[in-house]
Formats: sequence, structure tokens, C-alpha cells
Amino acid sequence: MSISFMAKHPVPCSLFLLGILVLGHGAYIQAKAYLAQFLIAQAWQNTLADQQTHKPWHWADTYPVAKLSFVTKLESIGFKHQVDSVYVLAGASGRTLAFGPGLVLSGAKIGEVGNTVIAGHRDTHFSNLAAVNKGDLLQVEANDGEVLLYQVVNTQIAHQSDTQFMAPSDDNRLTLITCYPFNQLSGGAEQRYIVEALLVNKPTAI
Amino acid sequence: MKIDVIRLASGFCHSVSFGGAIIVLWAAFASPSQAAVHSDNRESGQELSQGSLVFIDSNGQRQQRLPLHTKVEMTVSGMTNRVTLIQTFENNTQDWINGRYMFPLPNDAAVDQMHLIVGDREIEGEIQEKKQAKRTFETAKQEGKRASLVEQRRPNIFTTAVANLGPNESLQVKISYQQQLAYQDGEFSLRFPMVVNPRYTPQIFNDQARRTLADDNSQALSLAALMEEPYQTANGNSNFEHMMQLMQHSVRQYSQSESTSPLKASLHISLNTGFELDSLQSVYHPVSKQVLSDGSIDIRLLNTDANRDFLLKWKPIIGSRPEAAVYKQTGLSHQTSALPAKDDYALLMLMPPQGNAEDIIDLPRELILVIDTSGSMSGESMAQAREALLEALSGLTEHDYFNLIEFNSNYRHFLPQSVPASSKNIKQARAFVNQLQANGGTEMYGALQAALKDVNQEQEELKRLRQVIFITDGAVSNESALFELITNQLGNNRLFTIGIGSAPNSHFMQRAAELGKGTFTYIGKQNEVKQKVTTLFKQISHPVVSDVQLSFSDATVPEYWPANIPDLYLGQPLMVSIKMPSHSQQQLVVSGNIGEQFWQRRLNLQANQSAAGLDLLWARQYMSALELSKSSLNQERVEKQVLALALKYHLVSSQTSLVAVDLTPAKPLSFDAINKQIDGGMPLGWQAGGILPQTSTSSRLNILIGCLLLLLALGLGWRKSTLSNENRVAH
Repeated sequence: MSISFMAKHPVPCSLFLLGILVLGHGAYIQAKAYLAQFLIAQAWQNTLADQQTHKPWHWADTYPVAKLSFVTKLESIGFKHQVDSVYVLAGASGRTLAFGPGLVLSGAKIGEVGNTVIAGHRDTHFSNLAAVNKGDLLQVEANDGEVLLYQVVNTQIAHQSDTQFMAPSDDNRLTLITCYPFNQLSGGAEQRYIVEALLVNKPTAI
Repeated sequence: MKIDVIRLASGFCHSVSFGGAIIVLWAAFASPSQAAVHSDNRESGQELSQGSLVFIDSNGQRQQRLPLHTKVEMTVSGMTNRVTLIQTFENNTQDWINGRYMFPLPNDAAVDQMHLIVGDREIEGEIQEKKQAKRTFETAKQEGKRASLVEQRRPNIFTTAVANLGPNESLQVKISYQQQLAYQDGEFSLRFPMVVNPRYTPQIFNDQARRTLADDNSQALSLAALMEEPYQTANGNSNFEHMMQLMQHSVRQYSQSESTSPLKASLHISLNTGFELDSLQSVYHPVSKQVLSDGSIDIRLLNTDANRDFLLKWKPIIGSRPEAAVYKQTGLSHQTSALPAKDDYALLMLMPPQGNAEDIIDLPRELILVIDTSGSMSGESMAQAREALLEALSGLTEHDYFNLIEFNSNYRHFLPQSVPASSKNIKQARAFVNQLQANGGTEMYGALQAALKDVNQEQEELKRLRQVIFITDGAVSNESALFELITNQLGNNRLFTIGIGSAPNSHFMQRAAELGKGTFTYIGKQNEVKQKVTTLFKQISHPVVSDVQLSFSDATVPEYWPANIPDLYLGQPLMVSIKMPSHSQQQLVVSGNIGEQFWQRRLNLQANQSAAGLDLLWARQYMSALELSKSSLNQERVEKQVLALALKYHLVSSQTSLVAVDLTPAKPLSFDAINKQIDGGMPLGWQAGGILPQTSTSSRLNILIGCLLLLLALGLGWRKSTLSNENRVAH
């Protein structure tokens, strides 16, 4: 019955199959990004417990190194801890970024003096970078459970060749990188959105 | 038939329910971001179309770039080059500004001097601890004094900051450095990195002012709008209007000045080689040459719109090519005390015997290519690595032996032991490379161990030179264990590392190569693969001397850098910086192995040529060796050592900066409000290799197209079936 249906209506049926494939591909990227974070969360709990590296799944080539939280600033009630969290993985290769934001290995390690650089996909984990403004707080949980507080000092747009944002610095700096513009549908963007934050003991109004 | 359609439709609903949920999720995520960036879009577009002269970025931050003129003077004598850069900061606006300019210098530049020139006064810069220098500079800035600060960002990236440059004023910063010339295959060369677009960013507005601009003004500030609008009258006392006025003014001024004064860079070299020259050429830029009466050659750059590194090469005629030379200097360049100098500094250049052509070809060699195929290499990195491997394979000759090892969670040999590079074996190896897939973890230890272990140990008479080429992005977590492994098991192996990808762990790979007595090559882009791999292979294909040692004739060892002298390949001279007690009467003994034979050469320190700035070169090499040995364990100690060295030798380093302050106050304090530090603002044109990580996928586009296709299919199917039903009813 259904084969005869397909034979009778080849155009809509092939369109339908193609649609399923393309949709599935897009949905797969989103689902992978979303679901992987649950497995990574478990690995992170283990890491917090024993300070060793734990792979989220046994064939993984990476491990969580930090938990990054975006704290939205609401002036009226001080700093409200309305928190969106993502787990940061070691390395910023394409493979790693599909599962979570990646710590760029050429930069400083989490909490170290220097420039700690984290890159993430604009259409999944770092889509909320667009809403991050100067003065906002970023919270980073290191593998010993210590929570570091960073305050955003600058946001800007740069070309992908502008590697100076990954240059080492002598302060305790956190640089978040994602692609720009945020609402572009296709991949392979040439521009980047850069968020620079400095370690603070307690937030000051900027 | 209708039932079919319904079944299909319900199936469709079923299949898209998951996707549908995702779309909702995506929409929820995306909508605030779209709203937030809507206004930015236009501005960033403008930024590009305006050629980045003046623009307002997403924060309402105005970024303006002003002209900067760089004048370069070089004096080449013997094996060294003394370079002076004069950067002229011009302020063609009506504001007091603080500017900052970042520029590249050659990797081995020892920056030891800076002068701030205001009018006809010249203020010499002092070397200070980095933080202290910054404080000195900031204090001067706040007190309205003119000041300049030269800092090192990376070994080859420096910044100059100037404070309190008055309206329509200019000031100059003169920076000097010492550099060793490169000498290879009988040819000297010197390279000077050129900045494509020498402009610097003044920092006019303080934080408060920028916020005012960004918050109060709902309409977008654009260059065009500012230029077209009439000047606002300064009736209101609102801060915003004042700023607006200033901006308009600056923009007008700037647009005028831009059309009249193009940017400039000039270069002048006084070349005093001491040899009769066979050839002298500037590789990328047209130059004028003039031989002066004292035998030196005067070279000037003709074309000033330079957009790539300046490279000058010269070759002495065959009879006069130097085989050995010792240059010597007594005491420091920047002497602090009046005591007589205790130490001499020397630069030794020695060309080992190059042997006959047939010996060179016959040297047996075994090449182990190790490739990282872990998950982090997938995509672009893997494509680059594969191409590098194929390039390496095609560089092998029939005399070479080779093997391949791939590793991720485990490692795998191409063949159990090395085989000759016959065309059949190469063909198989190519097939092996082409089927490599990136997947799994990065367990480097086993692979490295396997690569360093010589399986042909039983064939002792067949001693081949083993070169291990390691291609990876360096995403490892057990660095110290790997360093230990390399140190302990290196034996006769030489380890060459090739870094791949947008931001590999260069420090790891550089250190690994140093311990492995090899070199580190970074390949940032796909189109660099061929050139870089070919260069590396050409360089390492003919080793001449290994295990080079240096001592005095009484077997005491002078302090020399680099401490681990790398192997010398065909055409490469030995170049060492030495520190030794003054008036030493001893001979210097250089020894090593040429093939299986012991080789030694004695050099007399008396018959030498004097030179200047050799202590700077010695200290610079010492510091870079220290920096490379830095790990989380010894970080503090290394930093202290670098600081002490840099202060003693008056060098800019990772721990020290040069700062100069003009004691005469320049800026009236009433102008304070528009003259504060805003961080950011880098020159255009400086690019390290590689790009920022790629952080976009087409998932949303795929979802959208997928949904549209499904709707289209459904629509068509529905229409067709309705039609056929109608037909049936009609019949």
C-alpha cells in the first residue's frame, strides 16, 4: 500500500524523506549539545569529589574542567543569582564544542593568572552570550569546588583572524568566544563575539 | 487512499514531535538574542564599510585610529644588528589623548632602550619591574605629565603606551633592540616584521561618558550621521551634548587629516658586513643601495606601503665566507656601577666541515611519523594532519626507512617495523593515511614510548639516524610524565613536533621538541601545510654534527646559551652566546660527532673582533631558556630569575618594562574628565597564525529547511490525494 503510494506520488515522498534527513541532522546537533551536558554533569560531580579528570563517556576525548554560570544582573535587588550553567570541557576542537564549551588549551588554566579562554557554539551553549552585558557576573566553579567570580569588562565583535584575544595577559582574565552574528542561521561564520571578564572578589557596579 | 495519507500524516507528527520540541527550545533561546543584537548588526556592518577609521562598536565605544609614523634605523656589523625604531604619535584632534600601539618585533629581539622625545628634549627610559613601571606610568598620566611605557606582551609582541598627548601635538618614542643575524647555507639574512596598518587607538572618553553616549542616545551613532549633522551649540550643560560636540569635531578633523596625510613607514639600513659580497637583495620590497667610502652599504626602502615582512639577504663571495668567528665585548652595555667589568661576553660562530656530497646522500635515516587521531583532531585539524603526512611521505627518498604510528585511546603501527621507502610501501602508507579517522581519547604516552623505542636494536651495525615527527594538537593532561619519558628514552632519537589546529598547546610541543633536541613547527592554516612541511624536511634531511659540546681547554665549562646545543644540519653554523671571566687566556674547545667520528675544533679567544650588545644577546637567550622551562611547580622561581636578569641587563621582558616620564606637566588638570584610560584598542594588521575557534554550526538552518521541506511534501501529498479523491467521486 505504502509502496504504491510512494510510486504514485514520487515528488512529495522524496521531499518528505529529504526533509526528515535535513531536519534530523539539525536536530541531532541540538540534541547532542543538550543531552551531553547531563552526562558531563555526572562526570563533573565525580571530578569535584576526587579532583581527578573523568571522561563523561568512555570513548570521549575530553573531560569537564569547570562549570560556567551566567549570573544575570538585576539592579533593583542587587545581584540576583539567576543562573544558567554549562559545563566546560578541555580543548576547543570542533568535536568537543558539539558537547559543551571548550577551554582553549593554549591559554591559562581555570583560575590561573593569565588569559583563560573558553569558546562555545553560538547556536547552543553560548547562545545566551548575546544577553551578557558589561558589569554582569560570570561564575566559574573549579575542580576543587572553589567558585571564582568574574565581572564582564568588555564585549566586542572581532574578525576570526584577530587572535590577540587569546594572547596571554598578566591579570586574571576570562575570555569567552562565540560566533557572530547570533541570529545567523548557517554555519561557518567569520566574525566572533568576544566577552572579556576580570576576576573580582565582590562585584562592583560598572 | 485517504487512510494512507492520514497514516502518513500521523507518522509525520510522530517523527517531528522531537524536532518540533527542539525548534521551540531554539526559538526560546534565540529570540532574546535576536532582539539584543539587532542594533549591533548595522553598526558592525558600518565598521567594515568605513574601513575602520572611526567606528562605534556594540557598546557605544568609539574607536578611533590615528596615524602613526614608524622610522626604522638598522646598523649591521659582523653577526649582529642594532635596530632603532622611532614611533611618532600624532594627535590631529582637539582632545588630550592617551594612546596605545601594539607592534611585532623579531622573535629574538633584545629590547634594551627607550627614549621619550618631546620637542628637542630626550628623556631616557628606565627599566622597572613590570607592575612598578605600570604604576609609574599611571601616576604620571594622572598628574598630567607626558609619559611613555614599553611592555612585552609575548616574546615577539610589544606595546608602546603614551600619556597626555596634547591637541595637535606629536611626540616620539625611540626604541632600540639588539639582534643576532641568521646565517645559513653561506647566506646572511635579517627580517623585520612590518605592520600592515600602523595606527593607534587614542583613549579619549572615560567610562561615564561612554555610558552616557550609549544609554541616552537611542539613535545609533554613526560616522556619517556625525559628519552630516550641524555642530551642536554648547548651550546645555548636559554631559552628553558636550561629548557629542567633541566627537563631531574629532570626526571632522580626522576625515580631513586622513585625506591629506597618508601613513608612512621608512627603513634605513647601514650594512657593514666586512666581507666582499656576491649578492645582496631585498626579497619583497624595492630598495635603493649605495656604497659609501668606508665600504659600508646604505640601503633605503623605496616603497613605503609595506604589507609584509621586510627580508634582506646577502651572500659573501665563496672564498670569503666565514668558517669561524668570535666576537667579544668586555663588561655590560648598561653599566650601573663604576667597578671594572668582571665578565666578557662573546658570540661564537662556527661552520662545521660540510663533508663531501656523496657522504651526505648516503647517511641512513629512519623516520617515524606519529599522528594524533583523537577526537579533538576531527574535522579541519585531521585534514591538515593528513595532508602534512602525505607531504612528508612524498619527501622520502629510497634510502630512507620509515614507519607510521597513529594513536588515540590506543596506538597502532602501520607496519610492525620500519621499512624502506620503496614506491610500493609508500603507496600502502598513503592508503593507511587516507583511512585515518579521528575518534577516541588522547593517550600519548604509549605512542611516544613506541616511537622512541628502537625495534632494530639487535642490528647494531645498521645504525640509522632516527627522527620522530609528532603531529598533534597537544591536548594532553599528563605533560610532566611525557617530558620525563622524552628525557629518559630519547637516546639517539630526535623529536620534531608539528602543531595543528587553531590553538594547539604550543608550550607543550615547544618544550617537548627542545627536550627531544628537535624543533617545533606550527601549522595554522591548510594552505601552509605544504610549505612548512617541505621546509622542515629540507632542514632536517642532512644532519652533520650531533652532541655538540663547548668547554675551555682546561675542561671548565663557560656559561653559554643555548645550553642544549641542537644538532647542526647541512649549511647550519653553530651560534653560541658565551659569558666568561675577563682576560681569560684560554682556548675554547668545540666538540661533537660527525657520523660515527669524534670531531673537535680549538678556537683562540685572543684574535677576535670586538662588538657591542653581546651581553644583551646572552641575557635574552638565557631568559627564553628560563621561560621555556617554566611549569606550574617552578613558576615563581623562574619569574624571579627572569626579573633579576632583565633588571641587570636592562631588558624588556615578561617581568620588566621600560618607562619614561617627562617631569614638566603638560596637561592642565581641568581637562581631566576627558582623559582616562580605557582598555582595548589594538592595531590592525597584527595577526598571529591561525584563527579564533570556529563556533557556529548550521543546526538551525537545517532544522528550518527540514521543516519547510516537510510542509511542502505534506502540502503536495494532500493536494494530490484530494485531487484523486475528487476524480474518484466524479467517476
